[in-house]
Amino acid sequence: MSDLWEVLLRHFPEFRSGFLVTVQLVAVSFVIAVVVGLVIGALRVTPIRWARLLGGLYVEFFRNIPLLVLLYISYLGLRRAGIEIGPWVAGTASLGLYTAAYVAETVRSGVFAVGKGQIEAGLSLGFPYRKVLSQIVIPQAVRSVIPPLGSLVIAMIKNSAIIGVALGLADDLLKQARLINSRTFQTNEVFFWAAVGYLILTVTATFAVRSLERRLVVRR
Amino acid sequence: MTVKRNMRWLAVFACVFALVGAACGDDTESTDGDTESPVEEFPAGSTMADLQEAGTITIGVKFDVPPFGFKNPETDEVEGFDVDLGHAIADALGVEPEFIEAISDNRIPFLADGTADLILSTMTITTDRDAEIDFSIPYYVAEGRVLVPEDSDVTGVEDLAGTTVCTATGSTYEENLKTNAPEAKLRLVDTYSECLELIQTDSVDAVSTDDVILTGMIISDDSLKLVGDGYTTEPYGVGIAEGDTEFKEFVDGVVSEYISDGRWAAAYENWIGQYTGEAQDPPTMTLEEALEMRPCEEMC
Amino acid sequence: MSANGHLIEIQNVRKSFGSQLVLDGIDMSIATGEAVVVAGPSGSGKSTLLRCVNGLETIDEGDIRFEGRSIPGAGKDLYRLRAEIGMVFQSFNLFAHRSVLENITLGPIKVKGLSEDDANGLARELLERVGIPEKADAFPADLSGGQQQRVAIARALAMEPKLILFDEPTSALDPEMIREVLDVMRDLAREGMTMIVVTHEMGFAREVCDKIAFMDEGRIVEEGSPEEFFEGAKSQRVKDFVDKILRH
Repeated sequence: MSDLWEVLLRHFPEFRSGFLVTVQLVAVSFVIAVVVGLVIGALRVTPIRWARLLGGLYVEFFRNIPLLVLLYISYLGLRRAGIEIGPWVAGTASLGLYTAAYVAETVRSGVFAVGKGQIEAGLSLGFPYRKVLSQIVIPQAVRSVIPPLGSLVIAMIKNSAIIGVALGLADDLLKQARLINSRTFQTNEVFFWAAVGYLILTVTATFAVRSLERRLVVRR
Repeated sequence: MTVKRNMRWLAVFACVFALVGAACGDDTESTDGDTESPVEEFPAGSTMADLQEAGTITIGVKFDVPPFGFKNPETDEVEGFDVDLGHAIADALGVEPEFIEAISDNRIPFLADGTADLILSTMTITTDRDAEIDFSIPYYVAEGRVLVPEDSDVTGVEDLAGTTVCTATGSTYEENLKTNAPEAKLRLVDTYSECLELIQTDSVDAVSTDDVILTGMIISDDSLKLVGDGYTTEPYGVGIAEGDTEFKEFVDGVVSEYISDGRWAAAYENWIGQYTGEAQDPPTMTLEEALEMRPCEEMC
Repeated sequence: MSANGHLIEIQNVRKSFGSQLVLDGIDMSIATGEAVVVAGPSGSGKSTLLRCVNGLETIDEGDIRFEGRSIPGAGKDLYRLRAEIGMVFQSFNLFAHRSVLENITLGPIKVKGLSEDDANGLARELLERVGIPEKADAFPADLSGGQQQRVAIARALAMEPKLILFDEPTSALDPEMIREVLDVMRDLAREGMTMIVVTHEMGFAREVCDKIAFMDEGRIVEEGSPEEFFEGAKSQRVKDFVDKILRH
């Protein structure tokens, strides 16, 4: 038992540094995921055929490729092609764009959930179609993203651990834990604290999303 | 109903045949070993006896670190300096070696939980590691050096301030570099093959690890060069499960013989000497001396 | 206004959905201030006809004229027209993300350019009129079906339309709530609102409207005043229909 606390105390600075890096990774990737996800989601529901196709391709690509493969392509692959992409950019862009595909899908189902009825009601008031979209459909579609957002954020927090593993792209919580472990061999204790760190993040994220849900979600 | 039942009996017979076949197979293998050279008998209950009974020894080696442990792409077999020593130990027992991949992260846990019987993977002897496992006498002494692209201005480890240097997680170079190049930014990855990728894509400015490992990189990419003098001494030891003194003595014996009867020199020439054009004497360092070089840092 | 004072003129309208002929030569005229009920079995094309009047559906042949001008197919003219024709739907279709008050003021503010204060004032008046002023800040999900439909009517009225189309407004309501909605509609009719109502509520048809049109298989089988319809129907089809309702 004393080992458990000794490991934490001796290596607290490293744990903390890794924790903060993970927070930053997830935060930046999250912003990318939401922004890009909304755009792609919108593309998926426009009446313009090529836009829908483009959005569909994006979603299929990023949903079917493992994140690790994406990290290798986006970092090593691009660098070998001559593009000077940095590790942080590669990591957050990969995680962000990857998650964006899932955000886009919830936007799409959110739009469909709004239903033809409200669209017709809007049209009957004299709104042109684009105003129906901006005033009625999109506000609801965006809000419909919020409940599934919780699980997407949790997935991101867990997936962020891969970024540190792949090519040393970032010294995140898992990476720091592995380094401490390789020096101390206190495997159980080290990864216990790493798990605690991730748990703190996921629980916080869940609470945050739930309070957002309470305030913004549209009840039907 | 009857078809199903028949199928089930068929499966049972098939399994029985397979087991009998396997058992018979083992018998023939060990008799082959016997006819090659007289194999020692070991006291019952010792690791050596157990391994002989099993007919195989599992050795963790590197799969991607030429010239010590790497997979030959043509034969798909692992080979290298470490692998040769592994074969020697297996032969002394009269068993077949099975080589599994040991990356820096898992090699000690593999020993601890019995997944591997020995670790032969360019593992430097340190007191911290010695607290978890046992080491044989040193079987190779490498030096830490720095590898850079051929057009780099870096002249050695003193010159690494402000650069990004790649090395493997869990290796001694994390500490080595923090001590000798405190102003350098470290990029820690799982395997040295990743370091090679990173330096080839200009993602890092240098790679630092054992000279022999760096030589392996130069062999596959001659646009890289070694710079500066050796700045650390890295004695390699065979990793053995903690507390198994009998087995350690056995392995020490094999290593000593390997060094004294010329097999070490042959292996060196084959894997390293022919590329570097340099000769090197077998190690004379004792285990105590090696441990003294790297005293305890964590909780030994 | 057309020459003979009719607000809506439907002439020989035909429409198919794919290979299915849904409207098979519809002729009808509605004068300002008239309340017309379109009745008939399901699938007779009643709703489709209604949706053609405000351009939610397009017609293949024939003409529909509002105030003497043909209904445009698309574009700004269509939007302007729709602002003058209100619609109330079977499934209410309130905007779920907005409060009741906002549902009513959205159109006036964004389409007609009313100030927020004016729109709010108008909305509150209308809520009084339909009988639920206290629900102004509630959300549609908090309301009963009957209340939602009344809000929908207020929403349509807020645009000060010349005509309101009702597409089976009470079909999705529990029986106890049908009355409150029909009451509002009756008041509207009595005040002179021009309306076309597709409904199964024959009691309402009998009491309130000026004209009943019976549709079957895409055609208007018979048209006339409520007395003519219920007491002196000419076609057998309508006679059977009336019989069935009255017995029910």
